[in-house]
Amino acid sequence: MYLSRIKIENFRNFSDLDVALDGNIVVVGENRVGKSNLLYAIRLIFDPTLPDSARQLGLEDFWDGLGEPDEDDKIVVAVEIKDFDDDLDILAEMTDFRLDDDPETVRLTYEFRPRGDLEGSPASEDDYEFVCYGGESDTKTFGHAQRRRITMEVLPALRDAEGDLATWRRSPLRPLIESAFRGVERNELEEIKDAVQAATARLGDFEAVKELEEKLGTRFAEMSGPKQDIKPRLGFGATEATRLYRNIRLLIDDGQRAINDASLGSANIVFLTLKSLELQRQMNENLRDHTLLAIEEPEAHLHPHLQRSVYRDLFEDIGESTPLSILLTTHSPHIASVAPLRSLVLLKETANDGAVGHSTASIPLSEADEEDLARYLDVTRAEMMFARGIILVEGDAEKFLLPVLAETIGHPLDHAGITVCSVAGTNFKPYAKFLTALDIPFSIVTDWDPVEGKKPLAMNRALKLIAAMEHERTGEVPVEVVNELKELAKNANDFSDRCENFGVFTNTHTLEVDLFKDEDFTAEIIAVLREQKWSQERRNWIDGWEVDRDTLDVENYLKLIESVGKGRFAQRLASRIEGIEPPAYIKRAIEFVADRV
Amino acid sequence: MSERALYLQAAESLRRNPGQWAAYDSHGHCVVLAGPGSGKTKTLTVKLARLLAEDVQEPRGVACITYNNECARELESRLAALGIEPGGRVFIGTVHSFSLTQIVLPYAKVAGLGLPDEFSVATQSERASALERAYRSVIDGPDNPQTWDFRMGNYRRAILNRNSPQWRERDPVLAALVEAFEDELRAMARIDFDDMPLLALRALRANEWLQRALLAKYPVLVVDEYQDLGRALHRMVLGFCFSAGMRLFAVGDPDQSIYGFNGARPDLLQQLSRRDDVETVHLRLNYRCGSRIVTGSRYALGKDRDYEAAEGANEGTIHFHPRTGNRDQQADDLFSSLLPDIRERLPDLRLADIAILYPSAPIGDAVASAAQNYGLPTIRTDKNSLYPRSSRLMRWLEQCAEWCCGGWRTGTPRFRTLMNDGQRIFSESLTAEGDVLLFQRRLLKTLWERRDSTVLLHWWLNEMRREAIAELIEGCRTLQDEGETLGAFIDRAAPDGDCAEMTLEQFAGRSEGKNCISLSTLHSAKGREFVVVIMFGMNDGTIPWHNQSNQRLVEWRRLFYVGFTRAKQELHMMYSANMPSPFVKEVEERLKADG
Repeated sequence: MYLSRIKIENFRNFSDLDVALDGNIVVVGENRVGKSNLLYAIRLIFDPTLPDSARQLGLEDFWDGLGEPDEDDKIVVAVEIKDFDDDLDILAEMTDFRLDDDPETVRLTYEFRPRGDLEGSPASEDDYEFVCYGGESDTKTFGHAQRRRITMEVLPALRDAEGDLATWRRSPLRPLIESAFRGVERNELEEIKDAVQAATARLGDFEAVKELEEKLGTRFAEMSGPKQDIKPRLGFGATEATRLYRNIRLLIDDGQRAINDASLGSANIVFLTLKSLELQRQMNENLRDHTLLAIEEPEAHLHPHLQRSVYRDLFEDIGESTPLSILLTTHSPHIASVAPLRSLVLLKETANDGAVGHSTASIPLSEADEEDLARYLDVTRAEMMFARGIILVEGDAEKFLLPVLAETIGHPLDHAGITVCSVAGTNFKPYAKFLTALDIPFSIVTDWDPVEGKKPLAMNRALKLIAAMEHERTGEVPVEVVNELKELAKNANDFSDRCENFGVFTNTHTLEVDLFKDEDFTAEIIAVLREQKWSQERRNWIDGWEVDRDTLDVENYLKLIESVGKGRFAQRLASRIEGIEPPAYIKRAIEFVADRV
Repeated sequence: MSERALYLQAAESLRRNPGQWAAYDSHGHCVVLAGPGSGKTKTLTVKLARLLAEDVQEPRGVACITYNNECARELESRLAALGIEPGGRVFIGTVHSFSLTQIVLPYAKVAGLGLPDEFSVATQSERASALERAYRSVIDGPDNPQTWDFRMGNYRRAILNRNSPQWRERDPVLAALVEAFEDELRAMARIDFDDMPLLALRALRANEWLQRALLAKYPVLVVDEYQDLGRALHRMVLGFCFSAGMRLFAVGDPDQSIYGFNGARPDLLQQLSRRDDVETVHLRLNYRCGSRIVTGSRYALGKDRDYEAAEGANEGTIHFHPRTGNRDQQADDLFSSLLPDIRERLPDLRLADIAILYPSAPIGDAVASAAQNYGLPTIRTDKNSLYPRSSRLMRWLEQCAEWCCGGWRTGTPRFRTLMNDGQRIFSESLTAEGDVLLFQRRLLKTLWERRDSTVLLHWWLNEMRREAIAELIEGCRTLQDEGETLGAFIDRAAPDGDCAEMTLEQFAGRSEGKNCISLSTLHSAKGREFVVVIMFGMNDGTIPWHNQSNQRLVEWRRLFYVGFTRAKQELHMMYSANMPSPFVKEVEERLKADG
């Protein structure tokens, strides 16, 4: 089974959230945007450890923008589930909760609403009740019986993993040990007991220890009197055979040290390791059928490298072999980078409608597009998800130059939360779809790429891009827009002007050529080229171009830049162009995004 | 003792009987062909407990389908003794309640059954008015429309697939009448009892996922009294068990199939037992009847069966009482001479150990009034009883009455039991948190304040209805008919009704275990047993009727056989000397020939 949709109405900072899901959920968004509230909403439905008193929400849990709730207002959390019929245990629990018009989808709903027998408007919290029901009729209630089998566990942010590991009652080690010891014969335990007793007896051989023990015993007896004397002793743990296993501690470094000597990060990994084994055990012993494991800000205490390796394992290996959905809230691009592409949910605050959400679950992507994107997100550490705006560019040259140029025109990118992302080529489409789906403002800066005797490459590229973006944005095939652009293609200027309305910005040739032709940049480019050692012939080329810009031989010019390396060239140039006004199309591309964040 | 220990202990007693043990130890589909008194219910309940403990893991469960509410109750109480409470993982009920509560109610919308929103189950009077209107629009003849009900029911049950040419061709008038009748019901937002399995089948046929959904909930299907359950259930069983993958455990006895008029087909169970993928087990030891009665039963059935009395059984006796005089005189004779003889012979006999069985309810009227003349308490379980014995609501009220008549002091029945049963009966109305608690409070208060065995029943029932259950009945779509039954009975107990004098104690005395002679039709005696059975009115023309087809004749004979095999120790045949039933004659002659 997997969660396919979540809908939240009037709950805390959500007025009307409705996002498609694809099983695992990785919630990203700025601080205070309601990531934890989203998890809490899901807990209202699934978490068996949440008592009914907590499910009885309060008036303060209504969405702020609502004002005073009246008799028609209620808090609703609904999740939809698909693929629930592979596992017959899950099917048995869920089958009655199908949607009236769609037998392949199950819905579970939590509602906090004015009591059914109430006349008039609710006056206080006592006038409210909560109900958990499945399907479309609130008489089909569900409760602990279902939550016990399809269950949610929450590991809070910054938990005290070490402390939990050290206390027997809370330790995730406990159920595993208990389960393991169920199979051990009693008489074999007796042997260990004898050994522990012998070791304890040896303690007494040390005069100082013996002395301490005696002092302890005497003092206690004096304080308590003979009737309350509990006869305190020193030892290596209780020796009663049935409780022997409670002395077992998790050790590290091949048994040299106890877990409390481990770093915070290691303790967290140990904690997760034990937790995942425990999940496995509960599944194997048929104690539950599916687990929604929610971890708040799992990046706490974990080195970026470990974040990636731990969560990649959790998503890929454990998630595949265990009926497990992973729900994370995170600020970490490292974690987002290993999250399944379809799992991302981006929350954003709006001025009047509370927080809204966008997800990657239902973007139509080809398999190749999806692979590209996934690989890309991995490599760039998924910073795209954490930006307020994005400028998509073809390569490293733009990536180095744009921040400097933006600074010049008064739009420092870091300040505005805008990131320049290179797609390393011209395949912008999957990224454009992805950003459109997540409703992240973006522009695309791409070269015109003229071809002798044919249409410039940018035309077809831009047309397809805009069609895909509009399709994703509106949910419909944008026939009119496409026809309009095809008509405009007769005139290059008209065409590229119109494209700018959709956020696609083009030049007249390629970046380097356009810059050279911009007189403000020519001298700096010549200077960068001269930093390199060239043959006499090439030095002559450069000298000629310096004298007359218009003699630039594009082919030779690009040959030189290739041999410097496009990225290196841009980097060198970037250090020289501070304060120079950028070419108009780049200026507009930057402003397009800056205006929208 | 843990549940596990209880059933394991009970299983030990099956070990001595190879058939019972084989059934208990079966692993795949299993059909148990069980002769009379062969311990089939015990085998079935212990097996069911084992399935729940060993084979079926939470959250999945077992569905157990049986012939009527009586049988369901019997199974429930036997399972309770093994520590298994129904509800949750265990469904126990009739084909109709299975169809309704497991398929039609939960899936009416998503399965596209096209039923009106908030439909409920029609009461008898609503059915009658729907039939009246349908008759007027389709036939509009001179008959009383209600006389068509029986034929209409048969037709609905006989041809399950409405899309088949057969449905329209075999009897176009009936087909049109049925359709008009169902439309009338739907217009009133009602379904009726016959609709339930038909709708369930239709839902299963149209939605592939539904079969799997039922498999998920109930990986094992247990069916009791298979021979009487008819074609709709058989069709469901074939789908569930031989295509979706449910495991079948079916119990029955084709020789005891007596509900042909309701669509029962004894050969369906035989077909199942002949399948290669089904293990068939025969239970042939009869623990109930004396050895002579077992022998006689072979002649009664007219077929050779290898049944034998269990070791240590008494001999048992069969008595023939040809009588002269009319039915009333013979009934009088039963109480003036026959019964005193029996009680003299068996001084420890309780009245509850005696049953008088007759072919039809009108004959029972004669027996009942004769019993009244002799001041003997009786309890009737045929359609002329005070109210249908199958009414769960009425049976529950009897129990409540018993609690008010001293049960509160002795703990029989326990209040907990009343609550549990009540909760199941009114489950549809008890959905919200706190509903159950409220019901418990009201019930306890109502009963506690009216715990006086001498009060008039009319008052008590009225109070009970108003204070504790009227609202609940209203909220239950499946309970409308029983609500009407209760209303009708309250009217009879009213000052101008025929039961005006009835006290709470008399009402309470009607519940199980009280010392009354049982009066029952042969049909209603199914599944029960008595030390002494008197078969009354065993005349030619009555059993069987004259001019019956061969097929019908076989079924009459099976009915005779069912009555015959209810007796443990003494079996008495009463009939008119000048026209004994041919079945009686044959038994008498063959027993004589044996010596």
